[in-house]
Amino acid sequence: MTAAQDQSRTPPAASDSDAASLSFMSVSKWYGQISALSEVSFDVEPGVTGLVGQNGAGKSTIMKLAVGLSRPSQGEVLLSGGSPRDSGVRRTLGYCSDLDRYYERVSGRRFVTWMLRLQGFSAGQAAARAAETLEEFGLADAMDRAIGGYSKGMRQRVKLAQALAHEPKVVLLDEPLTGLDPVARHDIVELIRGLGERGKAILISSHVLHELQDVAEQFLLVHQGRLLAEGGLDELREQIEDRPRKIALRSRQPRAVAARLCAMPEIIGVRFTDDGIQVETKGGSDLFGRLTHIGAEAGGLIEEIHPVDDNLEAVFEYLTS
Amino acid sequence: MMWFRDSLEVARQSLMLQLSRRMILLGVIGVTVFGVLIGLMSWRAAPGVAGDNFLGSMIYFLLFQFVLPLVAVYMGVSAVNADIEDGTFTYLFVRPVRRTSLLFGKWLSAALLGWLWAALVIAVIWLAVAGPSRPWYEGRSPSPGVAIAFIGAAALATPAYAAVGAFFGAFFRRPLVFTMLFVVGWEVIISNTPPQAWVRGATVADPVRRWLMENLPQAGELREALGWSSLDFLDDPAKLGDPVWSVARFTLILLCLAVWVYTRREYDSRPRD
Repeated sequence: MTAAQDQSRTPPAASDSDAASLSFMSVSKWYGQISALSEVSFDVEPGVTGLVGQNGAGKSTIMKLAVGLSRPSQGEVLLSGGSPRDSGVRRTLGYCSDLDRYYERVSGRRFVTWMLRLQGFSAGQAAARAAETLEEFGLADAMDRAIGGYSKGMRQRVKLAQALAHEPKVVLLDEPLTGLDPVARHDIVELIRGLGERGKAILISSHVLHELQDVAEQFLLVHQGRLLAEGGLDELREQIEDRPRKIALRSRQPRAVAARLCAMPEIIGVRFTDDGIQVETKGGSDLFGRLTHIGAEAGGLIEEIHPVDDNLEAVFEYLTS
Repeated sequence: MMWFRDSLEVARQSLMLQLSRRMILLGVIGVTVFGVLIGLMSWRAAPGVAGDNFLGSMIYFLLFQFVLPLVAVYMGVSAVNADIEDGTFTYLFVRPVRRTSLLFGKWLSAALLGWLWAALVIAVIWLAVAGPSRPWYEGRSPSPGVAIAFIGAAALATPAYAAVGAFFGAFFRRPLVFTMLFVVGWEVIISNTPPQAWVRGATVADPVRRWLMENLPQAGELREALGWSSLDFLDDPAKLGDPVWSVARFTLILLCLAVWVYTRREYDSRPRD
C-alpha cells in the first residue's frame, strides 16, 4: 500500500496516542436486573491476547463493549485512546463477530469492497485491496460468487477478510476459527500470529481453549461476568500453585518407577495408565529436574515426562471449579 | 462533507442490496399484470368517463390510497430494519461512519427506490390507458399532464413514507404491524378529520391530496371523480398551510425521531431465528 493511500485513511490524533490499544476500566454492564459484566479492568497491548470463558461468561459482552455496540453501565472503555462510540476512533478497529450473517446475494468481492468504502477507501483502492485480501484468504476463485453459495469455511474467511482488509491497529476476533477445516485453521492461526508479531493488538475469543493456546501469548479468563485472571500461561499456572499438579511419565517398568516416587514426600498420588503412570504432586516446577534425575539414576526407567495440566484448559478448569 | 459522502455511499450500497432482493422482481411482474388489467378496464369504462378522470381515479385509488404508502413505508422499514433483524448491522456499526449517516443513507435509498417504483407504476397505468385509442366520453383522451402530476405527488409522498418506515424500522421490533396500522388506520382516519382539528399535518395523505388539487390539470372535475368535493378545506388550502412545507416538516420530524432512536439504541446482535 502506498503512503498516499495510507494517508487518506489516517485515523484522528486520539487513535495515534501511546495509550493501550484497548482498556477496560472498572467496566460493569447490566441488562435490566441481570449483571453481564462486573467491575472488569484490563488492558490489551500489541500482540495476541486470548479471551477465555465458557458460554455466557461475558466474552461477547466484552467484545460488544469494545467495539462500541454496547455502552458500559459503569466504568469506561477506551479503544486507541478514545471512546469506541466515536466514529473516528473506529477507523483503527477491525472486528469479526461470531455471527454467521452476511449479505447472502452479494459476492465476496463486493462485500469486502463495500466495507472498505465505508472505511474511507476510494472506489479503486477498495476494489484492489478487496481482491488482494480475498486472494490472501484463499478465495481467489470464489470471490465473484454470491456469499450465499459459500461453504462454512469460506464464509468465515470472508468475515475475517472484511475485518482485516483495511489493516486495522486493533483487531477483535470473536470465535474466528469456527467452521474452518484443519488446513484453513492452521493458515488463519499463522496469519493471526503474524499480525500480532507485526504490532497489531489482537483480542481473540474462543471457547475452544487449545485453539487459543496455539495463538495467544496473553490470556484474560472470564467467568460469570468477572475477570478471573490475566497474564501469560506460566503466570496463570503460578496462580494455582497450591493445587496438585499432574505429571505423566512414560515407562516400560511403571511399577518400579511408582515405588520410587511413592517415597517422595511431595507426591500425593500415583495412578497407572496405558503407557506409564500419572502422578499428582504438590511440588513446584523444580520437581521436573528431580524426576529426570531419578529416571537417569534408574538406568532409563523413565522415557518421557510431560505435564498433563500445564495447559489453558486445565488452568481454566482449576480456576472456575 | 465526509458525512454526506458516507451517506451517499450507504445509500448506494443499500439501493444495491434492495435491488438484489426477490421482492423487486415480484413487484415488476405485479406491476405488469396490473397494467394489463387496467388496460382492459379502460376499454369497458371509456364511453362513460373522460380520459383524465379515469386515469386520475385509477392512479389515486389503486396506487396512492393504500399501495404506495404500504410499499414506501415497507421500503423504509426494510432498509433500516433488515440488517437489525439478520444481524448484519454489526458490519456497519463498527465502521468509522456515524449512525446518522447510516440512517440517512438508508432512508435516501428507500425514498428513491419507492419513488422510482411509483413512477414506473404510474407510467404503466398511463400506457395501459392511453395506448390504442378508446371511445372516451366526448372524445377527451387522457393527457400525460395527469400522469406527470402524480409522479410529482409521488416524489412528495415517498420520502415521507420512507421516513415513517425508517422510524418504525429503528424503533419497533415488529415494524410491519405498525406499518399496517399507520397506512390503513392513522392515515385514513386523521387525514379525514375536520380541518379545525389541526391534526391533518400529522399525515402524508392530506398534504399530498391538497398538492394534487393544486397541480392536476382539470382538478375540479377530478375532485368530483375522486369524491373530494365534500371536503371543505380543499376550497381554502391556505387553512392547512403549504402542502410541500407540511410534508417536509412531517418527514423531518420522523427522520429526527428515527435518528434519535437509531443512534442511541443498543441493538441485539443475536438474530431471532
